[in-house]
Amino acid sequence: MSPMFRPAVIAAFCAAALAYVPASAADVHTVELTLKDHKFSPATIEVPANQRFQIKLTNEDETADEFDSTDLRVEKVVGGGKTGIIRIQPLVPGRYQFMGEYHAATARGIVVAK
Amino acid sequence: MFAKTMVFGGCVLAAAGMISPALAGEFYIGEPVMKEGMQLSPAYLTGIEMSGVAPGMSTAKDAIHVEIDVHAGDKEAHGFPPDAWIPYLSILTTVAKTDGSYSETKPLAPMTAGDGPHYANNFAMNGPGKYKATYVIEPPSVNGFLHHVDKATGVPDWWKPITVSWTFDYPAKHS
Repeated sequence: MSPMFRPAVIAAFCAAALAYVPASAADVHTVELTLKDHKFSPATIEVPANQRFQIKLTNEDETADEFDSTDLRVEKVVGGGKTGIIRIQPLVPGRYQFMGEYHAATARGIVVAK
Repeated sequence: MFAKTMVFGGCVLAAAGMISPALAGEFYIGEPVMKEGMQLSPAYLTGIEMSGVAPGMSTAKDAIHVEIDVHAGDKEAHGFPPDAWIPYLSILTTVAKTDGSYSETKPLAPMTAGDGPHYANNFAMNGPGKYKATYVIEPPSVNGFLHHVDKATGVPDWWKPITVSWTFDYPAKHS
């Protein structure tokens, strides 16, 4: 590749990258979820089926918990007083259980994909 | 007789399924920390069996499975997307009772499970009390994992070894 040609390629790449990033990060359907007193609120989340989405989990408890779901094939630890993003792949319609594994007796919820 | 055995077996399996969150539960060791663009999160589990013997693995019946999750944060610099498991690490772990009556040091083995890939090993422990878990984490380069260094696709050199520790109650106070 000639040195003259390179800046144009880089510019094109940067433009493509800039166009791509907002579409992949900011436009993903986001559901807000709170963990307090080791319980999820809301405990049932409805999401559109067949599209990626993310859960923004705010942990209002003092200690960490692990958002864990075999159904959703995801696991993510969110520290006490912290917020974490849990990214979920497209789901076929159905009900998917999740839990806060360090407090599994009380921290439980369901994702309903419609 | 056969039918009875089948029914009994089925009930046992059903019961095991219902109470398994307690039996094979995952327990809190401490708050996750961010280091070098990665989230480090410790935990221990009970009732775990592995496909092989990890180096130094305790075979005590009530040994616990001490883990650390090492996943990319949102701005990991070496090309790992958010939440990706970081492979090829060497993690030497010491679990010691703070009264000085027990200490074990051994490498964690890489492995995978229903909740994803992680590093872990089984530790014997010495009864209920306060413990400290210390993890010395060496970068993937120590196990032969290369990275690109050319201008177009290169990523930064690996970080220096990381030492993290947490003090925790065993058994964990909440479940």
